[in-house]
Amino acid sequence: MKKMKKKIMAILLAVLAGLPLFACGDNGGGNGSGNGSGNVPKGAPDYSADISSKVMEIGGWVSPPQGNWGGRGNPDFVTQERFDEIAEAGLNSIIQIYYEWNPNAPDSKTIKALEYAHNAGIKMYVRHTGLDAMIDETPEYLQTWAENYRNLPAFAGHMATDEPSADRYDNLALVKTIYEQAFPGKTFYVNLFPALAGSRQTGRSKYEDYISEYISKLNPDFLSFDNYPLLTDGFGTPELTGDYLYNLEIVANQTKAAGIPFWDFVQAMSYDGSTRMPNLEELRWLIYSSMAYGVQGVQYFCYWTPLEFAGDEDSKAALITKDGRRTPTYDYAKTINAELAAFDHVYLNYEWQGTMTFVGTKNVTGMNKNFKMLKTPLASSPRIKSLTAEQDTIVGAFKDKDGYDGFLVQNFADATYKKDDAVSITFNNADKAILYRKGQPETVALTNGVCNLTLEPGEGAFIIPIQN
Amino acid sequence: MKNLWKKLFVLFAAAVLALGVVACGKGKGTSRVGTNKLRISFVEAGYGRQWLVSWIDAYNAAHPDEPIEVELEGSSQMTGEIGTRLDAESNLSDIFIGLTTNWQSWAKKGQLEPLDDLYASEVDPGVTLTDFMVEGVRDFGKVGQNKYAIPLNDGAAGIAYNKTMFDARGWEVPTTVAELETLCNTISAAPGNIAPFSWSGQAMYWDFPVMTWWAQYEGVENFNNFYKFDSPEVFQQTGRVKALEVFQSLICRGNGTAKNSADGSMSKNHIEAQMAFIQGKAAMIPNGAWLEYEMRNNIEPGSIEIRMMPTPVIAGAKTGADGQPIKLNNTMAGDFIIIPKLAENKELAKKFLQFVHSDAMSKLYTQKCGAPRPFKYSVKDITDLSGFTRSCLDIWENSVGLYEISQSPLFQVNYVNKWPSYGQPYGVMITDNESPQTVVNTMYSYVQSQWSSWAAILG
Repeated sequence: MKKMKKKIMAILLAVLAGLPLFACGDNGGGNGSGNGSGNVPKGAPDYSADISSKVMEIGGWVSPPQGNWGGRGNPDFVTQERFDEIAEAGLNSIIQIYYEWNPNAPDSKTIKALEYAHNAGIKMYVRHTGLDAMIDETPEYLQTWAENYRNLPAFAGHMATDEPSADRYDNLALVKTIYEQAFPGKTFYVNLFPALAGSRQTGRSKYEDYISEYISKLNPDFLSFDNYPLLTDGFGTPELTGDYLYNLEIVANQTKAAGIPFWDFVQAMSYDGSTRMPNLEELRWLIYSSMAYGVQGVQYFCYWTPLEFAGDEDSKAALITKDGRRTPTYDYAKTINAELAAFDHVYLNYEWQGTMTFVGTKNVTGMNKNFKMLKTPLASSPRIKSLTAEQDTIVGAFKDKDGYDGFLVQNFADATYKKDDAVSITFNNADKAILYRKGQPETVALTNGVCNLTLEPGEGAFIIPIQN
Repeated sequence: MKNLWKKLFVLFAAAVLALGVVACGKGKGTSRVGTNKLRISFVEAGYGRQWLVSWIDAYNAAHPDEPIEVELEGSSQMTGEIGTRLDAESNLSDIFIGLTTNWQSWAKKGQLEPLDDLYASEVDPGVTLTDFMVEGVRDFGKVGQNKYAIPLNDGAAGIAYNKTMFDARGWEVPTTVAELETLCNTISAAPGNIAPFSWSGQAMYWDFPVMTWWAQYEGVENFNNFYKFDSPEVFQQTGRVKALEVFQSLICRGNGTAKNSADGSMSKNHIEAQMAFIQGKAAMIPNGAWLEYEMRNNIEPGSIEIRMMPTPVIAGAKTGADGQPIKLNNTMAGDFIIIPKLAENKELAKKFLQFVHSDAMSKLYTQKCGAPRPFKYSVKDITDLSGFTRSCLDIWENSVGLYEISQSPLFQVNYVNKWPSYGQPYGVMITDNESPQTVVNTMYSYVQSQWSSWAAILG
């Protein structure tokens, strides 16, 4: 009996000791488990050696179109000035959409575009139609097919296909194998559907399967997808999709498991009656929320407004209108891209661990529909003792190879309403913190590990807590 | 030692209790299982929400001892979210109400609760839900052997017009396509720079009259046969060409631009197009029974009277025994009500839906939002309806309703629909000058080329 009691006591004690592991971290204020006393490196990290090597891909869909494309009578926008304009906006890559009959012709617009892109310091993904169906061709054939441009310095690879159904993965994988033999080091670029596309388009009942099958069959170097949450009811009342973070979570989890980065397309225009053109705060919201999930490349949908899109209203256009004028979104993108370029060498040193969500104290509903759909939100971080926020806030947790923690803290309230977010974070084992805000670093001393900051609408701050 | 045991036990029990009340991440909150709580997520758009609020109030008035507490989640984009939530098995409401979409695929994936018991239940004494439905929609919710959805509304969709403008200008409401074409010329020539039509290039409500013209030409039986999708040949129905020819004649200038159209129609969303119409920039607009309600906050009282015209008759339309063209109405019925298989409070959801499908609740719906429902009830004695709503209901009551309902597996997995491979043909007809015959031929060729592989996939 005595032995039995001892066993029972041991079990009870073990259960009681393990209870903190079941703590859930959401809703208003989060309390981190433990005291983060693990191996916390001392002093500040130095990433200055990576300024040139760790660069975020910042791309755009639709390069300047060639003249009279599809018989539309448009001017020829394939000029040096237009490619310089792409670089001026802070993009470092562009995707060609308006293909020509033979891009390999010596005098083709594609070759001209690649020359202009190189002069502007950007790279270009060429659209050469038919590539995605070349399952029976040889690498030698492909090389001949692209002979006149494949060695041009701005040639980054081919835009093979956009938003394929999973039913096409087997064939795409075959083509990719041939492609990589033909064009070593070049990208067989594929962009995937968002979760909202549904099984009819993705070809799979579960979005997770659509993503995992792509990764397993094509073994890509990165994964790109689009995710456009900015909606309107038509009267101008803004709405957000409820699956925006859910989509990011699935892609982030699966690419992390596969050890590959992901890029996403951010919504830079209104492309139908239910979507809205972003302002500066909304564009920042899109990009920094993606970064809270570890995105390593952002691409604008679109750079140039597609010629086939109905109408020509500037209020719906992309960075550049169909007839070549800059919209306010061009300047918004330019501003944010400069922020990214200023600290991407820091951010890209960090590996995403997970993302925490916090319902803001001023959220009277106590609920955020995007948070509700998440399956694997990070419950807590040992480095964060507590966090309170006025607005709904997401915190991406990161770690670099030396064990430094980094946190992308973002004001997740719908940026349309332009609400600032007063956030207070108490870090464990931190005497100061380096805050990267709009790309600029600031070192702040912390008292008892407390870091207070007020995030602007849509803003994300990358914070590295430092122990002296 | 005894005291230590007691203390340990108390601690353990307290901890277990505490765990039970900790709300974990995801904001799930309190379960609705077995409670009086329902969550209803619905599209809050053209018809607003007052009809649903009224239903809930009526239910509670009828059940004073067992009132329900309903959390309403309304969004104009709810339709697009339902599928993702079902796939994610997350953030599921007890009832989802959405706009026309391929909900059948959700049923095929086992994500929807069968509603056969609801269909067999009495909604009024001696009247089951099935009995109460108009015959044309009794298979609306059917996938395989079960019923999974209930149609939300019926309607009248076609061409609405500015009655105030028509009366002031002495314009007659056209009864034939030829008269409509003549009227467009008259309007274009009239002072005031008024366009005959305002329309949305993004919403493309031209389907409303076009489908009616198609059915007028082919006849209801052939129109319904199309939706059996028995073979690719249905896509060659002449009525489809004829209907698109009417659209071409009205709207396509032939040089890549639109005629008879308010400025910028191609780029407008449906609200913008409707705004242009109520502002008097156009005399007519392809639209549906929700038009007036949706724009209610933008219409100055007394500034405009809107009416829905019976869709003008196409040349060659089928006639009835009286030698007159058969009156047809494009109901655009397709909005739906479903219960997720994993809903927390399915039983209460069904009880609520049983209640709201009575004669009285159907009238209440129409009174509150102006739309009819596809059930056998009279709208004649419903009060406080606007002239626009009355014009829609008159068409609805006095026409044969057209319903896009199909039990074809091809339709239910969305391999085929009325405009396969195009989505909608109107844009290419305007901007690329594609002829109606080319459009129809292209669709037929596409379907024909895919038919055997679809059949193989579907077994």
